[in-house]
Amino acid sequence: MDKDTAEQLLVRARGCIDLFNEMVEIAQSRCDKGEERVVRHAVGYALSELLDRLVVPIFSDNPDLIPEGLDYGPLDGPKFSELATKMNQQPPPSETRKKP
Amino acid sequence: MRKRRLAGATLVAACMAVCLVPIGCGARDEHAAAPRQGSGLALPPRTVQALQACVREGGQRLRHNAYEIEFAVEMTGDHVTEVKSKGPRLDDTGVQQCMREALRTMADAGFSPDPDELVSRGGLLPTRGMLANTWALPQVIRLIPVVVGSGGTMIVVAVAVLVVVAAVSLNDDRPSKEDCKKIKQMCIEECADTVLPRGDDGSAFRLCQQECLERHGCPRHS
Repeated sequence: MDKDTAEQLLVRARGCIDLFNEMVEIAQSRCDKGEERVVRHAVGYALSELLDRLVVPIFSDNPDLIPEGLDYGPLDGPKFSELATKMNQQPPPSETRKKP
Repeated sequence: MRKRRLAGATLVAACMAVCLVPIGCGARDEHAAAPRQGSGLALPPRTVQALQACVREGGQRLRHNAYEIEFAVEMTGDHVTEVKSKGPRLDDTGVQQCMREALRTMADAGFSPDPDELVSRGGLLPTRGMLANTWALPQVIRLIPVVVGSGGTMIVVAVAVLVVVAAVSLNDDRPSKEDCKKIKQMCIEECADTVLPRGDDGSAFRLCQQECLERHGCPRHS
């Protein structure tokens, strides 16, 4: 993936994360404690997946795209390019099912 | 007197040119070389190429022409568990981070420390260290430094590898992969309860999640 595409994806991911934060803020101001925690956990799982499966792998391939002053910790785990190679080697289950 | 000073300066400049040409001013713009020092163990060629790529891509952002930096690579068995920068750093965090990532994959690139060789070449640390649930005898070995450069910038990269050679488990209660999946869920919920909302692109949440996993004995990337 070229750098421009990586940047475009990161901008959108950042937009998602902003929306996630807004969702928690809405829950904080309008919901009871139980409801708020349901929203927090839903956002937490989605955020974790977005970071682990997309944002951090992109940063691992392009460390210079990490916003200045932000610390995401060690970028361990697979890079985006490694994930893509793995995906290319493993056809989606729907394709395997089609084969006789 | 002035003539003598000028001659002296010329001589120094000539010496410096002769000394620097093999590593800094070759016919090609890019260079990667391993000076003869260190333990005899070297970084795998793929890792050297990755370090070179870091300088090629980000070297123009560096402000100086020459740097000498050091990384400490911690290995447990055949896996790199941590890469830390030691001492002076580059003035561009992107290049520095890129190099850390390159070293993080040095085991995949073919670096496999031979424990016997490490014992004979590396120094045994005087103290025992406690790593998670394991008492470990770490060994430190310095690899042959690598010189990477591009566009007039030269970086000497020294790498010290800390290898846990002998590990004796005191208790066998390290969580399994399956346990770590459940612990991750707990960490996500804990961090969602305590860290959100934060306007920092998710970095605080990720750090919270990683620290929680580590606290419970799971790899940061579970």
